[in-house]
Amino acid sequence: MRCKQLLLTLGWLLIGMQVAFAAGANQNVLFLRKEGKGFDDVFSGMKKELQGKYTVTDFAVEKATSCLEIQEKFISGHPDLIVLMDNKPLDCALKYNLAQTSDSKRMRGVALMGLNLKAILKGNAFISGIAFESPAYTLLIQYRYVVKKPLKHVLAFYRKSLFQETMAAATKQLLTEGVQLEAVNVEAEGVSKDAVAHFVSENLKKYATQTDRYDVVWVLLDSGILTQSLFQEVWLPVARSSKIPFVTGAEELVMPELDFATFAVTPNFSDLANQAVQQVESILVDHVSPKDLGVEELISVNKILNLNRAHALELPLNESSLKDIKIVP
Amino acid sequence: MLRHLVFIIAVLWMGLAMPMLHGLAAAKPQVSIYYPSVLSARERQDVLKTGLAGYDVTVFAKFRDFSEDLKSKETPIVVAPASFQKAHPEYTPVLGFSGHEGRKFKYALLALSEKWNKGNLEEGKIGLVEEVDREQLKGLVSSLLKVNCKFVKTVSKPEDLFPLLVFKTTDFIMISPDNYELLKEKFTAKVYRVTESEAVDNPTVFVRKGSSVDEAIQALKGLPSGVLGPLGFTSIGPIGVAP
Repeated sequence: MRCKQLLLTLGWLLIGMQVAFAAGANQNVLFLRKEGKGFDDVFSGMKKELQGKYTVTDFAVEKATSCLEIQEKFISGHPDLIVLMDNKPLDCALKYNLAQTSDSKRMRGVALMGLNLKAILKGNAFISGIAFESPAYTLLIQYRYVVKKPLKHVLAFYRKSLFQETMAAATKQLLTEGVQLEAVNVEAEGVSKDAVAHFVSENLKKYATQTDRYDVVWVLLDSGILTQSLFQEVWLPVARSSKIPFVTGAEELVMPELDFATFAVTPNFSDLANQAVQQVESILVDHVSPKDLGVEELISVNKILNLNRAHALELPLNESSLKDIKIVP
Repeated sequence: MLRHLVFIIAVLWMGLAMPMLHGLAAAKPQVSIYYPSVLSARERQDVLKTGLAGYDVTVFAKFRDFSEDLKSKETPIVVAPASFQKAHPEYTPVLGFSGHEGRKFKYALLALSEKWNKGNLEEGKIGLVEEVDREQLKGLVSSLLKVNCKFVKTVSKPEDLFPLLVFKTTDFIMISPDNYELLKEKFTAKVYRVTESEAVDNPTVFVRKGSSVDEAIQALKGLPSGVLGPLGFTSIGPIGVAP
C-alpha cells in the first residue's frame, strides 16, 4: 500500500517536473555581452521576449574582464543556456567547455554579434550561433531591386585562407538568382601582409574598372584587405574613379562624406534579437541540439543607399524600392 | 460682486467643459492594424489615413510591436490575420477583406529543391511571417497544413522568407499568394510549389467586446476601391455574408 502511494507521489512529481520543464520555468539564461549601441538593442530585444518565461541575467564584458571572471559566472549561476554577444565571451566559453571532462558540465549557448562565427563554431556540439556579417546574397539581391539594371557579374577580392567557405557559399546562393560571383584571391602571390597589400595595389584598379565585365564590386569586410593604408591609397581612389558601383556590409562605408560605396546592408538588430530568441527556445523548449542548429546566416537587414554616388554613376533607381530604405544624404 | 461670480463660473465652465468637448471631438476610436504584407507599414498607413481620416490608425510593421501594443491598452478595433481570434477571445470578427481570390486564400508552401516535398514535410523546417505568439505557432502551421510540424521559424516580414530558403535555414516557406506575386519581382530563384494550406480568411476587422464603434465600422465598410486597391484588396464586407 505504502509502495503504491510512493509510486503515485513520484508519478505526480515527475509530471510536475515535466510540465515545469516544458514551460521553461526556472530555466536560467545568462547573457554575456559587450556594452554599446547595437549590443544594448539586441540584448533588450531578447530580454523583452524571454523574461517572464525564463530567469534572465546579464553580465557586461569589458575590455579588462578576464576569462576567469566570465567562467566564474558559469559555475556560480548554473545557467541552462548562455548567450554570447561578441567574440571575447565566446572565446572564454569555448575554453571553458574544452576544459570540462564530461558533456553534462559543458555550457550550451547561442553566439551572436561576433566575427567569423561560421569558422569558429564549425561542428561545435554545444554552441550554435548567427553570423554577424551581412550575406552577399542579401546585399546583392537587395541592390538589384533598388537599381533597375541587370545584375549578372559581381567582383570580390578575398583572402582564400580565411574566406574560402564564405565565397563558396555566396557563389552557390547567388547562382540561384542567376548572379555570377568572380572571387579573386588576394593571396595568390603569398599570404603575408605585404604580399596581400602588393596584390591589392597592383590588381584592384585593373579588375574593378572593367565595366564590360562586372556590374558591381562587393567589398568584403575583411581587415586584412581593408587596412587603413590600403583603403586610403587603393580602395578609395579606385571606387571614386570606377564606373562600377561598390557595395558592402557597413554603414560607415556608404556615408556621403566618404564618397566610397553606393549601397550597403547592415544587421537589423530588432530582427536579429528575434532570430536569436528562436535559437534559444529551440534549444531549451524543443531540445534541438546546438550542433543541429549550427551557425545560421543573418536574415534581416537594413538597407542604405548613397544617393550622391548613385547619381554620379547614373544608376536608374526603382522608385518603389526606395520607400523602406535609408537614403543618405 | 455678481459680475465677479459670473466671471468665476464662466472660467470654471471653460475649464471643465472645454476639455470634455475636446474629448468628444477626439473620441474617434483607435484602429490597430497588423497583417503580413510586402507593402511597407508606412505605405499602408498613408493609404488608410485618406480612407479613415480623423481616426487614430496605426499600421504595425512587425507582429511583436502590434502584440506588445495590444497588451498595453484596450484597443477597440483591430485589423489582423484570422488567426488573431484564437488568442484573443475578447475580440469579435465583424468585417472581412476580400482579395482577387475572394474572402479566403490559401498559403503556398514553397521549396528550393524537389528534395523537399509533401512526403517529408513533417521532417522539414518551415518558415513563415510571424502572425501569432510563438507558443501557438506550431499548432497554427500544423492545422493549416494538416501535418504535424516539428520545426517552425518566423521572420518579421515577407521579404525575409526567400533568404530563409536560400540559406537553408528552413526547407520550406509558407507565403500568401499576393505576397508571393509581389516578391517575384525581387527574388527570381526557381522554387517548387509543394502544396497549399487549408483556406484561411483574409485580414479581418475585430472589435473588442463591449466597445461601441458603429461609426468606425461604417467608415471601414465604406472604404473606397481607391483605398482597398493599393492595400491589395477588392472589397470589405460583414463576416458571414458573401462578398
